Amino acid sequence: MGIISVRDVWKIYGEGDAATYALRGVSLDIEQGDFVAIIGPSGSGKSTLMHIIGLLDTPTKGKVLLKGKDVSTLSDDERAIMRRKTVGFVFQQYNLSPSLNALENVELPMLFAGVPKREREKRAKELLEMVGLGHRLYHYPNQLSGGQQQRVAIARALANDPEIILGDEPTGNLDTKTGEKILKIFKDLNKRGKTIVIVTHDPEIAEEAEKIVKIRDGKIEGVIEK
Amino acid sequence: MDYGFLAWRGLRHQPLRSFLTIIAIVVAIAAIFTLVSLILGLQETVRGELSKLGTNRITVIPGTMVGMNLGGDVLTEEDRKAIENTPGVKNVLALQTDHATISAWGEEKGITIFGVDPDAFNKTFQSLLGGYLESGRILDRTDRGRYVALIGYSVAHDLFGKDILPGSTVYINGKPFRVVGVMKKTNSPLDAGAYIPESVFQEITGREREYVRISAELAEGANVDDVVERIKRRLKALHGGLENFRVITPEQAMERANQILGMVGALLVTIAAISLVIGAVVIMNTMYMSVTERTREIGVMKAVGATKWQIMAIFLVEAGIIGAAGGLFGEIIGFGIVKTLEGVIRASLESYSAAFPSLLVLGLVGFSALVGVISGILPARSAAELDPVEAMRQ
Ligand SMILES: Nc1ncnc2c1ncn2[C@@H]1O[C@H](COP(=O)(O)OP(=O)(O)O)[C@@H](O)[C@H]1O
Ligand SMILES: [Mg+2]
Repeated sequence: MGIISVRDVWKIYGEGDAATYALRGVSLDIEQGDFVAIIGPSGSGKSTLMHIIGLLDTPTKGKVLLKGKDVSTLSDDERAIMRRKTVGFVFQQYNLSPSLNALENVELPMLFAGVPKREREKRAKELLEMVGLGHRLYHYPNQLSGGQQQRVAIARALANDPEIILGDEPTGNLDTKTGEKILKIFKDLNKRGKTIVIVTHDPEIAEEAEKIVKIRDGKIEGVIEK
Repeated sequence: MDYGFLAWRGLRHQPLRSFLTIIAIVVAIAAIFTLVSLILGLQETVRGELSKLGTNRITVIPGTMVGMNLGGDVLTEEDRKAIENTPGVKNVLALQTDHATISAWGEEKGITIFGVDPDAFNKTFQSLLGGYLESGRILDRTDRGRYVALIGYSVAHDLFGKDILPGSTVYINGKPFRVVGVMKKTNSPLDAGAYIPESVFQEITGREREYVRISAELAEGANVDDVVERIKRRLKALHGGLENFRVITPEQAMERANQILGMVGALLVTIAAISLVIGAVVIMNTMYMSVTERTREIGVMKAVGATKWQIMAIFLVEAGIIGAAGGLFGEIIGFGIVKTLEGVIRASLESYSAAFPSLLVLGLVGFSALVGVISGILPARSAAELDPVEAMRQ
């Protein structure tokens, strides 16, 4: 069994006539160290699936196992605690806190995880240096370019050293060249053993993945393994 | 970076709004601080003033309630004698009183006159009246039946354009009186009055010998409660079994005065506390706005692993900082007001000083912080309950 196991997951928003079926019985296994790309048209349920895998949301029906543990029945706080240890999120809109500088943004997940201040600062610095922002520690998000902001977001995702990194169209707001650089960071992380799941529209980026999952209308249309 | 920092950042986000919210608390805390400090000071002063006069004294007044004498109850010469002869009583001063006119420097004014036995007055001036002599001399036995007066501070210095000095002559109810002495300021009705020998008092007022107050100085080692009991028994017998008089000890007088001050104070503080409730509502409103504006950020914090309680903590600390800051600045402003009013009160009550017990100073800041935290609970909870995915969509 893989590090991520999705079993017949349904996600239904609303009820009756107004119900939206975001996911209709999705089953998917992802192994430790995999680099998976999820592709599909807009509205097909990619983000919903990512949120469920990343413990941000719960399925209406079905099961999700992370590292063999059934997480679909956990409480909000139990999910929050497991989330900060297990998964790092990278969003299309970066989602940095505008009033925190780069260093503080990266520290945030460690603060919630109860990491002592000194250690937090040291690790945040190291991570920012690793993504090439050692010279931008005290810059605020609005003082950084899109690519730089996304690198801060990646550093933040790595803060508590999670095994799984989830990217929901992480290059969607970036130009091709910058997008490629970000993708390179994801590939490096994968080489160092992180399990990577990326949602993307970009076929070139999908090409880089070991496994491509195609979604349409809330269902998996096919899986391409290389 | 920690929760305090995150909370502080929230306050800095809308500095004007944060400032106005703090002001709402400042006003309430300043009002409460001022009132409590002034009233505690007043109680202290009352205690101090009364203990200065000593505790081995009692006062008998007619009527069944302090300050009220509706039934025409009076104390008579028999009562005075009975009190004087009570074991444990050393000296007695019986007081008659009436309104009168006083003329000096070509002007006529109204004053209160007190008729006393000059000899008894002389013996008790120190023990019962505090020995407040400014200049001249007090009455003595040689003054019996003579037209002499010991006048109060205001009569001597404030009533007329010019001061009245010992040795001068004034006209009380049209009769010439020689002023033998002037009393110091006592901050009591005595300041606007004059002591004259009792026989003269009866002549110029035409009144019966009726006392409004008989004070007794107790003998060394006499037990106050025992003497009070004895006097009560004796007077009751003289009054046909009726207790239509009151025997007041200094402790009772102090207790009563402080009780009244305490009640007035509690009422005022209650009114001031209402402004604190308003302050609490203002904090709550501010915190709700803060939560709404930062919905997206809250979503992100949850996405990176914040639990509900951790989100709540950020907002509770923020509300607590508002409360504590309001409390602190409220006290600083309150302190300024108290010091100003203290000066005003001292103009007429020299020994007055406001009280700043540490329980008030620390307790009020703590209480204010607590009010802040409590006001923040509902908004903080609404932040904690946000769905991360929904919140990040904002
Ligand atoms: N909170 C929601 N309420 C109602 N419908 C939703 C909600 N979130 C997503 N959906 C719907 O679910 C479907 C899948 O959405 P999403 O997973 O965001 O798609 P994708 O990321 O592939 O574009 C869409 O039709 C979308 O409108
Ligand atoms: Mg999407």
